[in-house]
This record gives sequence, structure tokens and C-alpha cells, in this order.
Amino acid sequence: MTDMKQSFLLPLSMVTLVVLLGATAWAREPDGAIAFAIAIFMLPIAWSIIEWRYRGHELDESGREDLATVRYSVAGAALMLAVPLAMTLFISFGITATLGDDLEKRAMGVIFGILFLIYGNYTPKRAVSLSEKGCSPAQRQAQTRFAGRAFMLTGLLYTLVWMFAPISWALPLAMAVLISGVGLVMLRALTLRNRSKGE
Amino acid sequence: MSSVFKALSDPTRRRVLEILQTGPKTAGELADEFEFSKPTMSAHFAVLKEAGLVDTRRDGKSVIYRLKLSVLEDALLGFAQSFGIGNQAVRQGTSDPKSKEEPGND
Repeated sequence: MTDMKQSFLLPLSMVTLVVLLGATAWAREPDGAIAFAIAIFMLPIAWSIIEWRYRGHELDESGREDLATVRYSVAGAALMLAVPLAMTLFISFGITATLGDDLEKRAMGVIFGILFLIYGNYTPKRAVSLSEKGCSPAQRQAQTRFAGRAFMLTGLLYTLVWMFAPISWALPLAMAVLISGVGLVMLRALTLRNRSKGE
Repeated sequence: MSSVFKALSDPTRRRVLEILQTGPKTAGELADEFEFSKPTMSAHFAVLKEAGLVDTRRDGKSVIYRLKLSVLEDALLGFAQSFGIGNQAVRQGTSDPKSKEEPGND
């Protein structure tokens, strides 16, 4: 039960932080309204849908583990949004002004890349749920291990791009790396889900 | 971190982790893969659990073991396996987790 409470409070605090950071960034930089609006509303909406789907269900231990895993993933996603939002605010308040424009961008990219790398390393550290819902525990574990490696490699490449690529190429290259890495993990998850449905 | 190195230094425990890489297993399923006595296997499981590399969940009468390896720990496992760290201790019969001599200190 303690784990369930913790698994709820952690994403709650992280999502609240993202909303606060996003709202502040929106107020400071009205030009980026769309991006900040997405950052503010995406996670609370997605998380509400998840909680609503689980609401009213009598969950066994595996079901509770499933829900806790999803909640921790929401917290992870919130962290991924909170860091660039905080860095945007640092720039907006002129805290990093001494670095200069290019170095500022590179520092932001490197910090985000390292964060992604650390997140990838710890992704398979959480034991998988034993629920047979969606796919078998063995398939779920294989997917989690794949995701961890892919995220770690993505973080490493993202960091290297921001460190060494010419500044005019860094953003499109880094985005290509990020989209490829996350896309690959999503594609594998969807393939696994469809295969399990077909069985 | 030293508990992780200690856990990975023994080939039996590495084999347990390798088996768990294929998916969660009951204690019985894992023990069936080895010729050691139950107390010896329990001691190996305890070392792995203490290092935070596996997790247990009771399901009725059986205990289910699940893998909890970070990507780096996974790489370390592969590295230790490739170089056969601790294999000599097994050949010399000092890899029993309850023995006074630390496994893998050969």
C-alpha cells in the first residue's frame, strides 16, 4: 500500500512541478505559448486518462504493480519535461547569460542527454509486473531491457551531438536521434502488443 | 556497489541472472537448473537480493524471482561472464556463498 501511495505522490509532485515551470515559462516567453501549453496540459491529461481507466477496478497485486509502473513512467516523463523547462527559465532569467548563446544551447542539450542516459540505465531496474495482461511477464521484461538500452544509447548520442556537432546542425541532428530512439521503443512495444493480441 | 561486484563475481549467481534474463522464474524452477543443495541456492539468492539485482514476490506457495538489472549492471554481468571471473574459485570448491573465503577472490 505504501508503494501505491508513493507511486501516486511522486508523479503528482513531478507533474505539479512541470505545470508550475511551464506556466512561468509561458508568462515569461509568450512566443513559445504552444510548446509550453503542450508541456503543461499533456501529462495531466494523459495521467488522468490512465487513472480513470484503472478507477473502480479491484486490483490484484499484479494490477497494482502495473499501475505503479505506469505512474512511475509518468513521473519519469515529467522529469524529462521539467529539466528543459527549468533550463528555459534559467536562460529567460539571464542566469546562464555569461555562457553565450551557443554554449547555452550546448549545455542544455548535454544536460538533457545525460538525464536521458541515466533514465535509460535505470529503466530495467524496476522489476516487471507478473500480470499476463497485454503480454507475458517475460515479454514485458525483454521490452523493458530493450527500452533501457535504447534510451541509454539515445542519451549518449544526443549528448555527443550537442557536444561536437556544428551548432547549426546540432538541433535537427539531436531531434532525429531522440525521435529515432523513442520511436524504436514505441514501435517494438506496439509490435509486441499486436502480437500478443493475435495469440 | 561492492555488493553488486560480490554478487557478480560468482559464476553460479551469474548463471541465475542469465536464467532470469529469459523472464521471471520460481525458486524451484531456478534450483532445478543447478545441482547444489537448497540451502546453498538460498544463500546465492540472498546475495543477489541483497545486491538489489533480483526481486522476490510470493505467489501462493511459491516464491517468484524477477530480474532487477540496470543497463550498466547488465553490461557488467556480460563482462564478468566473458572473462570468467570467479570460475577458478568454483573449480577449487570455494564458491559456496556460506564459506568463509569470499567467492571470486582467487
